Amino acid sequence: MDSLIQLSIYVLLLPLVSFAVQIFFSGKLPRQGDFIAAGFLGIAFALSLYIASSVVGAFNPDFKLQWQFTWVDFGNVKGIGELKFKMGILMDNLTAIMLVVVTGISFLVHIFSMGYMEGEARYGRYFGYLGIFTFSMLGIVLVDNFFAIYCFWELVGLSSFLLIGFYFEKDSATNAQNKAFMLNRVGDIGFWLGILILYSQFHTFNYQEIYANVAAGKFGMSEGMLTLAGILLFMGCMGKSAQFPLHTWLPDAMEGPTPVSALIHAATMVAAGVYLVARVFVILTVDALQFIAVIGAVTAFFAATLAITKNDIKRVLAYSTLSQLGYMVMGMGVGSFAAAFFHLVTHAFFKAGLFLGSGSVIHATHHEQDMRYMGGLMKKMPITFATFTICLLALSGLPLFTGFLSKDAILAGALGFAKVEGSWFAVVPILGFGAALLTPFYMGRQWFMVFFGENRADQKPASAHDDHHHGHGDDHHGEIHESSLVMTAPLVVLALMSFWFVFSPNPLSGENGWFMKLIKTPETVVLAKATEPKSLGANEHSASVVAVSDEKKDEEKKNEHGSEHKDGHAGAGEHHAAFKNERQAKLEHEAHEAHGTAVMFSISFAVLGLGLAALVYGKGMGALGLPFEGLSKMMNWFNDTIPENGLVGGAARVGKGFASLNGALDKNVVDGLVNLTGMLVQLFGIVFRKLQTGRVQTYIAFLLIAVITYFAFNFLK
Amino acid sequence: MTRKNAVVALMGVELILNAANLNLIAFSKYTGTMNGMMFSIFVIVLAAAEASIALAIVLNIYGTFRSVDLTEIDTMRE
Repeated sequence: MDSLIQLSIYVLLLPLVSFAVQIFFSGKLPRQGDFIAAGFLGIAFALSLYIASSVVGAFNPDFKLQWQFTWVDFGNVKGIGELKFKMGILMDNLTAIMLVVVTGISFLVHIFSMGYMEGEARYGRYFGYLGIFTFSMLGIVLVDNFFAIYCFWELVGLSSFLLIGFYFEKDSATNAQNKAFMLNRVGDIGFWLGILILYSQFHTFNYQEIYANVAAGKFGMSEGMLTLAGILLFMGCMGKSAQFPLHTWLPDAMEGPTPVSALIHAATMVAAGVYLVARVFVILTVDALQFIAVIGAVTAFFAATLAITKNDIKRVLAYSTLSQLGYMVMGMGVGSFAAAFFHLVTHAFFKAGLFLGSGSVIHATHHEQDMRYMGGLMKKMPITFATFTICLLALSGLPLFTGFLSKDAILAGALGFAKVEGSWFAVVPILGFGAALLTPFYMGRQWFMVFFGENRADQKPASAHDDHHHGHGDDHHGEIHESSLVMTAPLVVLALMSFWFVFSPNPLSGENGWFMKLIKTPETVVLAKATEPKSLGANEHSASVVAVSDEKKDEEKKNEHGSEHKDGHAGAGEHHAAFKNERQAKLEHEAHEAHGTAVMFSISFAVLGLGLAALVYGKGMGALGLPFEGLSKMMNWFNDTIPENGLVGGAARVGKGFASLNGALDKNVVDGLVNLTGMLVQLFGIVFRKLQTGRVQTYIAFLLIAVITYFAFNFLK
Repeated sequence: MTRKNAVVALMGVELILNAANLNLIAFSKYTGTMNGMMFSIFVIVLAAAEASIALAIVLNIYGTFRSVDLTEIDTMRE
């Protein structure tokens, strides 16, 4: 086994050990074991950094390291043949980077939680839950087959459930955790069905084998089925990464502790869906990709419109996350694989920074989460203010920050997509840019409401006071001060990761940075006529296209090759494999062209958004009661009522109907049969009881009859 | 079988056994072998033993039920 793989297994298992230690021993450990948990995660982080430096240091876009072992071998099963389940690890550039992101942010969250969760009930168990979450998330990014990723997927859902409902004494928390898990499950149904479609064709769960089989044209069903499989797999992403319409759980998930929101709902778990799309990218057909792009764009815009109406500091960030996830998914759908993954990574850092920053604020204001009663925190919490500002600027997409690099790349991709696909797909970049305008606006709103002006804590109506006091020994009620080092240090780290120089030397474009150069969009293996075996001509043709479209750097080559293809293209079915890669090449080409436009628009939108926010909210709460009340109500209806009352309610009613039918069956038919049997037995009993007279004479009489009958039978034959 | 008194029923049983004996001896004379006669001697012995036991049982029943009327001895009913 390669040493890297071995190390990655350690990285995977360390958080699990942390979980076990915390769950079983935290009561007996000093300080309930928070140092130990953070220590384990620290080691895991260090190991991940080492692994990443090896993998990324090799700077090979096609780096792939795989290790497998047979998990269960059923031998030769009648009717199926060989049945063997293998498990394994796939080490890829994607995986290595995700390892660093997951363990890094988990580590920082552990440290932050040591300050934030101080004095809380079940403190030790909290770190245990963080541990199992990290373990599950690492499992998702490490494994090489669909069955295992599904197992870890569910584990992550479970961990999220446990963490969201951490304050389970509150009804809102338990509702939220149920909602999260159930919506996740709905997505997982689609996910599992998609996996099964693929398994039914290839009898393997392994990514590489499935992709090789699709490339060889062995997918026995129509391309429509392949599209369906792709969309079903995407449903898993919709549930986990909260795309419309399975998004309603994410804002409610803010019931969990804030560091949890940072870890799970900003940086890692919700990114798992995007990671999944990245993994299955190669077998997504054009239709599936279009679907994904539209859903992503819709989510991005729609969540952003909701973010401007919310007053809770965490809810705004939650909707922001929804919006950014929409961006990532949209990026995948428009073919900007590297850009979308880039956004995943950058977003993880600055969004975690924002969430932890809000945690710092919440901690300082003694768990006051309503932004209307904050204000003036800039002077009192300078470090939090500075880090929050940096992450905020990154999210808004201003140059000099990582957010700009990745968002800009995605928007360029969206523009390219619209140009290639044409017609009404132009809605994708429109929605994308709309969200790009709203994002800095709602972030600016949040910025001004929380940090500027005068503190408005006294404006809070006394009856609505939060009786959520945690056992803080000091009762500095009303006194707001900067958080301790253990909380500000992670903030500083995350803010530093939001500067441009981490990923690219050029503050205005990410394309020359190591990240974009390293992550290549994998070529799609989808053939147009999936059942047609590739003829030799097409084989060579597609191979050459594959070789060329590998190099993203040389634009001219692509250009001339593109035009070449247009000629040799006419109506040849076998060349469809080449067509798909050519489409990818065209998308990338258009994206590159549109880069300039995208930069221009995104910078201007960012500035415009922040400027508008300053105008409206700058002078310490100018017009708070903007027509956002009405918008809020409308969006709430759209956002919550339709999915919940409509879909969920409808499903519930159907379920109730079935249940009552079932009940009638149960009462009448089943119970009726049971009663009938009883009655029959009773009847027989009555009859046979008459035989037991207790008198000798009757017995002798029966004896006689029996003897006569016996003789009669024997001698009358 | 059709009599009410237990003792009379026992007398009936004796009658049956004696009748069987007669039959046995008659057939033995008919076939000329000794089998029937040997068998009937056994039957006489067995009948005597069984009669004594039966009478003992009837005595006990009288002790419990205070009557030897067969129609009244039916406590083994369901």
